[in-house]
Amino acid sequence: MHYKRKELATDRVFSLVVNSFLFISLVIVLYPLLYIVACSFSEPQAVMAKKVWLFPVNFDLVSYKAVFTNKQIGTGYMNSLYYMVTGTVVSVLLTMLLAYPLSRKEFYGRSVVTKLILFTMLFTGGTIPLYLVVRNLGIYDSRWAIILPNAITVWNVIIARTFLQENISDELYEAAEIDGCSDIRFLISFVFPLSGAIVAVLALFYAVGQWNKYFDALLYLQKQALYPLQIVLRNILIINRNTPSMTVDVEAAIRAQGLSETIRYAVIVVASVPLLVIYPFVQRFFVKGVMIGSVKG
Amino acid sequence: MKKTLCIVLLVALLLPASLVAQGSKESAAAKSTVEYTPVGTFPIVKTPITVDIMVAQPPCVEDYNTNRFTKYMEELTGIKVNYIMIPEQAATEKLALVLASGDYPDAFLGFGVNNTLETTYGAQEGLFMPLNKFYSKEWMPNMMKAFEEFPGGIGFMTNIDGNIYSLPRLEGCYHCSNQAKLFVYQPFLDKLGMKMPTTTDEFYQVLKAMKEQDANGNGKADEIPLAGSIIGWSDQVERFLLNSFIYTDLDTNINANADDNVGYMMNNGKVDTAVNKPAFREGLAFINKLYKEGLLYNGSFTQDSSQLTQLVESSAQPVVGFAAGGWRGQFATIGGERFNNFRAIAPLKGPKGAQYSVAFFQNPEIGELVLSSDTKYAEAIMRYFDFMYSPEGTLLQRNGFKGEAWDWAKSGQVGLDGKPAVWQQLKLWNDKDPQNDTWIQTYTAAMTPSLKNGLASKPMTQDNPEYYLPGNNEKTLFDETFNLYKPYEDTSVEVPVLKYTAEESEKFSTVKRELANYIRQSAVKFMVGSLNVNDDKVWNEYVANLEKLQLKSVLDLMNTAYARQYK
Amino acid sequence: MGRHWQFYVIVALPMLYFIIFKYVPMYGVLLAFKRYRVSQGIWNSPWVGFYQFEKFFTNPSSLKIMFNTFSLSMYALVSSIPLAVILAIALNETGSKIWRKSVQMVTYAPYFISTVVMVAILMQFLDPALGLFNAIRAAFGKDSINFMGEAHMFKHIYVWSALWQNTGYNAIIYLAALTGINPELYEAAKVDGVNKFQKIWYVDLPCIKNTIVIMFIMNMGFVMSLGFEKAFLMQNPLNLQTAEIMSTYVYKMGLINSDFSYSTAIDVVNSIINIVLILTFNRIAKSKNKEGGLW
Repeated sequence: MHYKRKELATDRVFSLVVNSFLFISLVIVLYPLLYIVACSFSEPQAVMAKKVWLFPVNFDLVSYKAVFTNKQIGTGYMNSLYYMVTGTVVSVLLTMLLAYPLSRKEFYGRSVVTKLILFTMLFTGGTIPLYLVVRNLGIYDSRWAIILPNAITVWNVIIARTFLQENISDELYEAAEIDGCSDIRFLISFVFPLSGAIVAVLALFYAVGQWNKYFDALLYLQKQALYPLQIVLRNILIINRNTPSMTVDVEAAIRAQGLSETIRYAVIVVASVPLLVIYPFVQRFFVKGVMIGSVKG
Repeated sequence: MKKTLCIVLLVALLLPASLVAQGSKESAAAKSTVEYTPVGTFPIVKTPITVDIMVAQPPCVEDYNTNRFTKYMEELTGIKVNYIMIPEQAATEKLALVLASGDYPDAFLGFGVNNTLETTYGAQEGLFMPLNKFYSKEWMPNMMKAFEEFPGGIGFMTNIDGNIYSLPRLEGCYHCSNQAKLFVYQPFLDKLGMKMPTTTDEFYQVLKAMKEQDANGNGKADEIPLAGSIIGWSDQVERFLLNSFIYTDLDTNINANADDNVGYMMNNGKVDTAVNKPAFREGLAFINKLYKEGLLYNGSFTQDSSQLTQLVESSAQPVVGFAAGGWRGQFATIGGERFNNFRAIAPLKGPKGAQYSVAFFQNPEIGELVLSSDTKYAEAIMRYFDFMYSPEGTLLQRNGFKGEAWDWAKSGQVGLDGKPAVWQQLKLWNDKDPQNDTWIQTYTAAMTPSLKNGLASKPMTQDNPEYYLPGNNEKTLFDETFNLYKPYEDTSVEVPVLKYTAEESEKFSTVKRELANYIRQSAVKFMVGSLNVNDDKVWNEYVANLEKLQLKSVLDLMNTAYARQYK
Repeated sequence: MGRHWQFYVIVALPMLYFIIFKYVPMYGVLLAFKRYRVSQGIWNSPWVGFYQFEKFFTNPSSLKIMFNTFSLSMYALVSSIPLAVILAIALNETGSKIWRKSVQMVTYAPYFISTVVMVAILMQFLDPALGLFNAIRAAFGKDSINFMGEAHMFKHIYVWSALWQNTGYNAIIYLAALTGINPELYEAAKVDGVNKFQKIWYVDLPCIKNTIVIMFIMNMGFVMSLGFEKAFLMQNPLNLQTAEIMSTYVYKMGLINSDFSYSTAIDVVNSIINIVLILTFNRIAKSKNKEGGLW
């Protein structure tokens, strides 16, 4: 009894420490975010005059209006969603296909392949040759030009490989091998089902990467109908910057002066919302106890 | 096993060699089979032709191919242009890549190809076509007429190898030529009972009075007598103040161009620098004094213009007395009370009598249109764009259609410069909203000084309460420039634009960048006091460092170029 | 070979990707040894040996720039991992699911704020007259500091704002690793009567140790390639001596003259340094634990 009470005490201290830490982190991170959201909903002049601290001042949807009246926003959103989904599926698939053999000691070329792909992380030939490759493959100005050239990130392969090494035990392999399971079969029947957490992480990382990409689109796309959201948003930011025009058209300048400040915030919110929303779905996969079933069973 | 792996990899590597094949353009310029009408008549071609032009598309134009102005041009000239649009954000990279891939359009529009690139791609590699023969009244009468208002403009467009590789954007902006302005918040002067300062001593007294005598009357010593920013259009106070000591064309923003605005000036017919002269030192010391005494806002060398604006606007009572900027909108909310009450002040006279206003040459923007060297339609394209250099063409390209966005002036209307107006604006010029009526951005057009100043405006004198309101902005800028700044402009000390050969460019680019960085950083450090400007040892070390960074070689290079072009 | 030939089939497709999109374009590295002429293409441009490299190393500020890059990167790296791990552990330990999910979502959100906005907010908070930090200082009776004007403060501002922005996102991978820990280990620990602190020290940390080491080593590969946008936006004449890093320097050099050869050469220098770093740390990691390295 004495023993149990002491245990409870330290654990309670522990909980207090943990939760305080989380709370502080939350506040530190949250405040600037709320500030951004508040600015995006405020009247531009109020933002300029630094009147906004936590809540919107003179609630105004003008920044959002500026973003959403752009005809290309809708297409941009659709395109980005498409790239994100297709790109993620392609990337996760390729990554897992690569990570699985790398996690197995029995794979003879393991060391060579690892070194080969790591090398590409450190050394690159530059924009020009890649551009030529894209052109010569005939994927220039097509959706594949966004999905393929950066389909696999070596970083993610290594993470996946490490995960598989740690979490898929040797016993499992041996047991399967005894049962006559081939390597490919093992991949499909065991590895994929057991990789919930890492597939979720990969999907998240790739999805975020795809969603935020714009440089590839700048270089490889011409048809406006294919532009992802980021390009459209950057155009909006450019168009609203407060440039000293030679002929200063005052009405436009007035609008632009305040708008150029607030519109960034609206753009951020608009661009980030989808990413924030997918996170809870991904979160589901961070669940413990997935492994136990397979080893015992 | 390992061997097999290696062999497989080798084969795999060799196979895709075809993937990096570079397209090659047919080298011989194909003979043109186009039938042209006489120059100066429309349409330009007897039977319609199609031409490919890659354009750096700004966000304000929805689609060049369906654009109303493009259609108008097509009907007028008989030339259908297939505009290949690429995002303006990617223009520089795209240009290099497109040229590298060997798959070029007939021309590139709106890329702003700079002098170095023209030298590289045009002079050295022969990828751009020389346009010399088109720079003549026979071929491009409208453009040549516009050039008459830009003396030296054609020389400016000419590359070091004697060829001209692009068409210009001609834009005259009168007030921009003396854009380093300082403005004072008039109510402060009124409250203190002081006049506009005309010398640096008077200026100092006024600043002190603002700080010590509660210029805004709220009982708190919260006044900020002088403030500027480092990133913005002529927001730097030093740009204005140093010229009361020595002619100084210095942009302290470290990301600025390393060739110009680094303090170079003409001295007895030779290119020299202001930054190692005793008078420059005195200027820095003066500003340092202001900084140390809290008269110059301490964020002036690290903040940008939006922060400066906040400084001016955010407090309940006005606090900023003097602010620097190209116009009042740089530091104040347009149309706000503070905006309406700032007045421009003329350059101050320094202790030794120096009183300069830096003049920014109104040079053409080069590189607006370049032709591929193997295009078959050179004449057609040149004549197509020549139309846009006429006043009507310029207004069509830039503002919109006659009778809707603009029209010729009615008799009796007066322009910005007081002379009879040439045109009137019917619709606000708006480069912020995407539209598809016209091109908005000025590319191959000529907003010449006479056209710009010929914009009809309401005649008003200074005592009219509406004079300083935003609606009259163009006029106030014009008058301020004309009355207060132009008199102190001295073109004999300005260094004209210099051109370098490719080897010179390449050899000196890093040196110039390092030198510019050092000059800019040092100037600011002297002004804030992290380097003691009053300490001879420190100053001499600075001068010595300039030599170590090859200041002399750079000046020699500039003098060589100068002699080449202007002697 | 024999038994495990299927592995080769499995990796065939991904490797094809690497060959086409990574290895084939590598010949672009040759540009570092040439003077690039667009019309001649990469293959036919003239060789200039080490000229571009000499140009870089004879430049007076090159070494300072490399030092800035290296120290900034290392500072960022060394501080980012512990914080991310602690956050992951803390999240793993809280009982309430809702609390955990909410904190996770909030902490991971700043990652999506674009650099331009991030720097704008940062400058706002640090503003000498109007910023939050100086307002707090004033409340304590202290003078306001122009943070952005102090060269030595640059790295702290840079790193701590990066921590604010990235920790939540970085914690995800550690959280996933913690999730995968075999629950049997926890049960065993409970039986032994350890408290939570001890559990973390003796079970959690060792189990994710490999992940931490791997992340650390991989980050070594990017030390010299520190991104350009943030530093570029934060530079001013007063902090340039510490704020100029390789990527901003290359940008200024490359873009002005479109000098691809020069910027490629600098990239090669960066890559070599990165490789050396990775090799060194991987060796160290392996010496402690045979399975610990990247390969």
